[in-house]
Amino acid sequence: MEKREEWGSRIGMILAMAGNAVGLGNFLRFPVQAAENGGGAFMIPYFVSFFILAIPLMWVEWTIGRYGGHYKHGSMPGMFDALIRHPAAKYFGVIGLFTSTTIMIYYTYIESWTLGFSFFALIDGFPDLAGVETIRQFPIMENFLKSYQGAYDGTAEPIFKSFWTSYGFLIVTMGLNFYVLYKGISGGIEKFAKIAMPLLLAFGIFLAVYTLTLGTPDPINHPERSVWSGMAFIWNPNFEALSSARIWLAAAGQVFFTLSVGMGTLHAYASYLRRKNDIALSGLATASINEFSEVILGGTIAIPIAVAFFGVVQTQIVAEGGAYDLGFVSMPIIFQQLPAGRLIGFLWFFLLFFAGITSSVAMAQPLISFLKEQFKLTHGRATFVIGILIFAGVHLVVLFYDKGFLDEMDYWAGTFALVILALIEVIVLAWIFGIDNAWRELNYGSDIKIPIFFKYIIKYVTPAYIIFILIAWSVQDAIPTFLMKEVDNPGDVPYLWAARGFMVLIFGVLTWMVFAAWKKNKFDYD
Amino acid sequence: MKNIIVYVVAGLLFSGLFASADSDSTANEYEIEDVYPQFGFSPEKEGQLDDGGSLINIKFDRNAAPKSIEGLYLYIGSIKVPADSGLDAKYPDEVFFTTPPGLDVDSYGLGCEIGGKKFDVGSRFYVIEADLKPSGIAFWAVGWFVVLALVIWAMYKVTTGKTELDQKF
Repeated sequence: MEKREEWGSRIGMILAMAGNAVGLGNFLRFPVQAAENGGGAFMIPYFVSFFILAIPLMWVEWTIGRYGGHYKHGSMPGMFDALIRHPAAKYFGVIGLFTSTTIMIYYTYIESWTLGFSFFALIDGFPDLAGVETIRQFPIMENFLKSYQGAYDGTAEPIFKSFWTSYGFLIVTMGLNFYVLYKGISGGIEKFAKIAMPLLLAFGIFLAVYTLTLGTPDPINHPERSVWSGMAFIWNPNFEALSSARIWLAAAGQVFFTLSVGMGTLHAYASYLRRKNDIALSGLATASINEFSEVILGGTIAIPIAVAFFGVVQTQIVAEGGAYDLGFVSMPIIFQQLPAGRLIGFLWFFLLFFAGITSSVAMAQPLISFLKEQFKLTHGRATFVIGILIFAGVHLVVLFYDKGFLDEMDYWAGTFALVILALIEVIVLAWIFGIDNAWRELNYGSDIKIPIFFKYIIKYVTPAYIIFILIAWSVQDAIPTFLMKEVDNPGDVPYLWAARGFMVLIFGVLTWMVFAAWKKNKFDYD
Repeated sequence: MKNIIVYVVAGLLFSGLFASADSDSTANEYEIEDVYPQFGFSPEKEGQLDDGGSLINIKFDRNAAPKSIEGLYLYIGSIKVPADSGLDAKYPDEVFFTTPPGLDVDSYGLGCEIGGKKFDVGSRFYVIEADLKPSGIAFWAVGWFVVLALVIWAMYKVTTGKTELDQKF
């Protein structure tokens, strides 16, 4: 068996952890969520959720990860097995392998769009919209995006005649991901994070400052359209919104996704720490870098720039269309109107690409660790096997993207399963392993003294909050979604069932692998 | 750590003080009956379209209209109708709406009378005011402050803690 890897340095580990957390959601999802859910008032439930849900969960995951790593487990089945030492424990950990692996299958496809669009920005490859009325620019860019995705809807002549262009960028993206993974924890992920994260932050700061200097781009014809109106759109509070449970759920959901909790990835990274290494402060530092990227950079770029060029009404319509419309449709239109727009466009999409790839490499890590540790594969062979499996799986996402295959996977694996895993892990650590043991483990080697009330938040408040989210989501979203009551096109239903079948297959195979691994191996935790 | 939490709570309370500085929300919805006298709107049904929809024209009294109207929607029941045109100017004096096919405001069955002063009780205008308000500035400032305080404090502790930032593991 190969010697277990370790992080090379603290800064590398923190940047890799932050890279895992900072993703497309920071720059696209957050501003849309804030603008749609009460503006400035959204920040109240957002920060409440951050302090009583996200930070405690993050500490829970780092604690489980470092503890599991001490017993040479880099994935959740082994970590749960080591924590509670019950024959059933490892099966609860299957969900940690399932979420990260399944999300990676479709996330790399979205990530590849950002690489493709950064290339188009650089070569001036977007449709020429000069002289086209603003209202007509959106359908043209939507057609560009849809035909790039192979989701041509027949309303206009497709710009891309086939999906080979997007397929090419997908292959490059997959190749880069697995090259970084192949090089290992300190030689690949850590080295890459040390380059990518400072660049990402530099691009983000540059774009945020640039946005704030745009002022009112067209003061004669549209004096009301300014960056400050955009900031108003995000920050002006609507206090009535605070009485809506939906807003609190949206805030909790956002902090969940933004910190990548409930995915099994933080555990995997933390497992490569030594037992004496601090986790309390390092966890907080990575969360703070993520919040900087989200609230300050993410909140300052996309929405304010869109309002400055399109006005609030059109931006609101774009925001209602979701994060993709904001990032991939409206932004290229704006870049064409900016001085040095090609460079700015390239920086924007490359920023998204860096945000994406630093997250996606983390998603493969739990399964790589699992194969290496439980099936004694070499690192190279484990990376190769997973690369082939992910590459095979992504074809279903590409081929059936227009049938809602990706969205279905995102809902169940990328949303619902995260909450389930978070609930399981907090119960396992705080209630079964025991809050006193968990607290001791969290504080072991700590560089800071965590206030004692977090002990009670972890034990009582965090699980109660997750249960509340779970019940509310089940009633509002999960049940209607499971019954497919809101499917626009009935012809998509078989494909959505196929997506569910695919996920059940992934879960089943992983469960069988856990069963086989424990049949083959004996673990001594004394 | 405790200091950070105290700052965060204090910051959020501080921003709440600004709530009294402005009472309007970012997106205000007004019942038409309220809007008409308040903003001097003068809605007219301009015509009947072949597809069954209606063309509605609203004239503004420039002196009475709110500043910085960025958006104006006409709601008919739960159907949201965006303005076709007319919002280009900072102080628009005329805005047009085209209701969706088949949605003739006269025959909608709720007794609305666009040309007169009686309106559908479910209809309302949706006015987005785009100025950055004191409370918006306060939330913006506090949001950034909370995040910057956290990141600066965390990175300071990391660089000065017993495990230094560039320490090799």
